[in-house]
Amino acid sequence: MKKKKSLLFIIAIIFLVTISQYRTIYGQQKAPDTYFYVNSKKISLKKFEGKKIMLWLFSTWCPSCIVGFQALAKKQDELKKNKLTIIVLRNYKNGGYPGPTVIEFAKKYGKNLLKAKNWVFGEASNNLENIYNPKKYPDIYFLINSKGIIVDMNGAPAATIDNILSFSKSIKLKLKSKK
Amino acid sequence: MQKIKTSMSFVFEEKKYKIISIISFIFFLLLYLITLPSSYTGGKIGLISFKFLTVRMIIFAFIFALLIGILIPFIIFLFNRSNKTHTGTAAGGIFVSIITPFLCCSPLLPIVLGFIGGIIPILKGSFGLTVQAFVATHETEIYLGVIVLLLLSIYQNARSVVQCPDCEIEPQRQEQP
Repeated sequence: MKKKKSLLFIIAIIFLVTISQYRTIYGQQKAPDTYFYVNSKKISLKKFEGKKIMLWLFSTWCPSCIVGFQALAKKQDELKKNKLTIIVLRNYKNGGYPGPTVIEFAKKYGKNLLKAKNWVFGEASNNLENIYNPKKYPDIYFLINSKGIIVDMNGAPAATIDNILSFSKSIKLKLKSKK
Repeated sequence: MQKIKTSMSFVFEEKKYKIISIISFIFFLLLYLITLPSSYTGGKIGLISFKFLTVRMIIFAFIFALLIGILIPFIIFLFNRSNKTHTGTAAGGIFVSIITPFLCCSPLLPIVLGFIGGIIPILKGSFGLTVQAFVATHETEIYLGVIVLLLLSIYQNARSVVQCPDCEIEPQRQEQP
């Protein structure tokens, strides 16, 4: 009986750890248009058409978001050079838990980015949240190419920074080869 | 405390329990060094975890592994002598310590709650976010709770070792009532 219990316990841990690695792939599809708020002003995603975008939804209490933000801040020169626009949106109502605003968050973890032209800081609308984050992840980003196609979806930018950098680089190379 | 000291000196008299203790310590230390940073990696584990280790994580990993390294030989010792073991609190402590860093901010809770939400619709996705936020903002307190659980388990099992009728503990080592 005890052996069975121990076995079940080990299986439960392995199962939970395994599914924690799993993230639903959004697939390569056109990024749906919706809106978000920057300084209470409604901004449409369509406005960024033709640009390479990283659309990042995060909560300001989330640890992976803090290190993710710092990792992106470190790579800002490269991201800027590769012309990647990073739209950083605080989850709708910060995921239902109090925390600093997106500007306060940016001031604390990467002040230099507030003036960077390739960064947009805002708040997700309920509509955007329902479309892009229906499962309510505290940390999720979408890499959208200049044709408006979602080419990747992931979380924790610090752990996946290489993917983000290669996305920005590869698109640039493709554009170059077209010329 | 006396019970723990007495049972430790008794159990670790045998070389095999010392070896079990060292192996458990190393195994769990590595396990925790890999799993504790998953709150920073979004649930990803592996060599990447070492990149995100902080001093706080290393300290907790060391304490957890040390306590488990003491606990496992006690449990095996009692088990070998067919005596009563207290594995509930130990299992609880280990489970909570391993699963906590995965609760925020990996896809674990959204997937599990998405599944449960299919059966119990009242459990909305936002409930998962509240749980994740609570875990993220109270991680240290949860880990301190785990330490208490592991200490309690060590105490319970140490008491069983001291009171074990077949263990032939020298009279001077036996705990006085």
